[in-house]
Amino acid sequence: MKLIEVKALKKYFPVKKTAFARHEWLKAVDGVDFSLEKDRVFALVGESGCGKSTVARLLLRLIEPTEGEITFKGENIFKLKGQRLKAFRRAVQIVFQDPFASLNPRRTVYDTISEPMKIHKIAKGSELKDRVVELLRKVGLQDVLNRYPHEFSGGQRQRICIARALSVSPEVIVADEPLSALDVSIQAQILNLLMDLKQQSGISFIFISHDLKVVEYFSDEVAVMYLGKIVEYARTEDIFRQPYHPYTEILLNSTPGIKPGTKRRQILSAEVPSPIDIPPGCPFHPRCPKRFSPCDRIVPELEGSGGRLVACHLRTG
Amino acid sequence: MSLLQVRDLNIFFRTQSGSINIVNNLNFDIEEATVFGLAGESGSGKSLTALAIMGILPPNIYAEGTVNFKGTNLLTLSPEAIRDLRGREISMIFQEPMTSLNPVLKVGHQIREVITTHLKVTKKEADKITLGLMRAVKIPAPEIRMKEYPHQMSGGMRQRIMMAMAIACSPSLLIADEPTTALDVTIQAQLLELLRDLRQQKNMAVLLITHDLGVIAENAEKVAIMYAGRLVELADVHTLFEEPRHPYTIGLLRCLPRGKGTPLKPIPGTVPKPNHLPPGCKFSDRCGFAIPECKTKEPALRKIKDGHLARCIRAEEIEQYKVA
Ligand SMILES: Nc1ncnc2c1ncn2[C@@H]1O[C@H](COP(=O)(O)OP(=O)(O)OP(=O)(O)O)[C@@H](O)[C@H]1O
Ligand SMILES: Nc1ncnc2c1ncn2[C@@H]1O[C@H](COP(=O)(O)OP(=O)(O)OP(=O)(O)O)[C@@H](O)[C@H]1O
Ligand SMILES: [Mg+2]
Ligand SMILES: [Mg+2]
Repeated sequence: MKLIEVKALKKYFPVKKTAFARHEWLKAVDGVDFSLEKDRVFALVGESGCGKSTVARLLLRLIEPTEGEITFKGENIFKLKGQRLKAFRRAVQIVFQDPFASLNPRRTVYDTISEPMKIHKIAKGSELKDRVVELLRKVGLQDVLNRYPHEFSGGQRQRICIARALSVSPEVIVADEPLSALDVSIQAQILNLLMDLKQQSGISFIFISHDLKVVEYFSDEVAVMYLGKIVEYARTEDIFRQPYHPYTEILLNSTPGIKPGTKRRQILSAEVPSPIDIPPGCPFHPRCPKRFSPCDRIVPELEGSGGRLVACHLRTG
Repeated sequence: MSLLQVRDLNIFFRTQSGSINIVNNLNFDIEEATVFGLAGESGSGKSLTALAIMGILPPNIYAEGTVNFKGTNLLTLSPEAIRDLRGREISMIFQEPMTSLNPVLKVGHQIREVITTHLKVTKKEADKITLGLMRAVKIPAPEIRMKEYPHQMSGGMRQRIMMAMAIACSPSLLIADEPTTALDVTIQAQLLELLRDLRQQKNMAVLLITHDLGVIAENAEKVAIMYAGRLVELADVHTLFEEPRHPYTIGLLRCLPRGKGTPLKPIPGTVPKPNHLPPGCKFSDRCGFAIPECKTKEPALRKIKDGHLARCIRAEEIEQYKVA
């Protein structure tokens, strides 16, 4: 079953510039399509600034799209009102990268985790307290109800954020770089926790990460974004076994392994161009080692079959 | 003789109720023109070790022991003498270049300043060297970019500027403290390749500090693993990754996902704060291989074989732990 469907989604931000036009557009998300199936983990990867967090904020309806739509169980989330909107706000939760910034320093763990349940009228009184204790146990914390965020390490704070997201029994968790701020030993602990939630609580995930080893481990499907567009979309095993897009291939080769003496095979030249000034044709062509005649003129469509889509003239031409 | 010899280095944090030991009896050598990797999780004391070598510890922190660089103990040098060494013989790049670049000065000016501080050159010559350095660190269109301010550049470009400043006087030792941690893997790969090239051209030794074992495997020749202010294992890079002998090193390696299906075995718990270290082996409270003895007496960093040291009384039995 498709829980979430993203269709032709665009988000442009106005940026002040030039003597002629009042402003230019920064195309943070520039026509993105994907879907999340129930009980699955869908990963979004790509270099900094490619639009991943903007997609996440759109998925939570924290911002409105410039064009396109997102449906949750068949309904366009940007049209939801009243009770239905409230139900959506409950069903889709987010966990951010920075567990320091996303907890209120003046509120105890109990306040933080019980609040969403109060808002959504899920429980009260002693039942509420029992649920908070149970949620904390689930994320591996005990006897912490009356403590404040500053008393915890980064990993523990991320556990609190996860408990808060779980408190309303969500169907989907959007996790935006949930491990990036943590030490490796803590990353592995949190990753195991997310794995348990996926298997036991029937939660589906949109998982944003720049760590491809983690994505390979945790996700079922992957979309690779570049300058606001998806350039490759496939099952995780397929993409890691054989990437089709030259950009995906380079991204995979850019992660250092832990075999001493092995050097990364391909190094991507230059940096990502500005999303205000997206190159014509294939947005990746200025950095692409395999570019040929059509690449600087014609935008490749995201096409393919059997669940494997790629936007590259080498594949479609 | 080694380029850098660190002997019994202790670093303390001054508090109203006395000093807290943060880095404990560190001993290691860095040979000329080699890359020495220092790895360990947050708070293990990597950066303070680097700052102690550079002689730039914050005022509430002090170091004891010896840091011999080309035979001179840096810890007893006068402030003037160490200032003269810094930038010329030893230089450093940090994780966040923004904190060490001056936001109101053009980047070209900042590179030139390093040159004019240490070398007797005319303004014209300094400009020429600046451009050459910007080319050496592969900044496109250096004539234009030298007139930019740090905030106009990407994180990757700012780190290149830092590298240009660091290599300006061809130092013998470059300390790189998490130089690529904040950057995309693609940019990380570019910068580390650049670092390898520069190191070879300039015959520099590098102290590479990172928590990323992948970066260590790819770049270092010798590696020290640090935990709670102590070295727990030291070996050449092949030995460290192929025959690790300390449960912490093994634990770190097991935290890294290796494809679907292979379950992760995280190290339980968290790194203790310097004032809350357990008695005995500092890793014993998180160690799956600890026995009662580990919790009473701190083990010494001892020789396992030539060039391989580990701080674990059970290092010889570690195979049992690895299969468990
Ligand atoms: N509110 C905003 N106004 C203007 N530009 C914005 C806004 N939010 C994001 N952007 C820009 O949109 C682009 C995409 O940003 P986004 O945060 O989605 O990237 P990301 O892929 O999450 O990057 P990172 O990996 O660094 O988190 C960037 O160029 C960013 O500067
Ligand atoms: N100025 C300071 N005052 C007090 N304590 C400090 C200071 N700087 C560092 N510390 C403490 O000293 C210990 C070692 O810090 P250090 O910055 O060297 O760790 P690190 O290994 O570099 O960690 P990271 O990977 O997070 O950079 C930590 O427990 C830290 O909290
Ligand atoms: Mg983001
Ligand atoms: Mg540090």
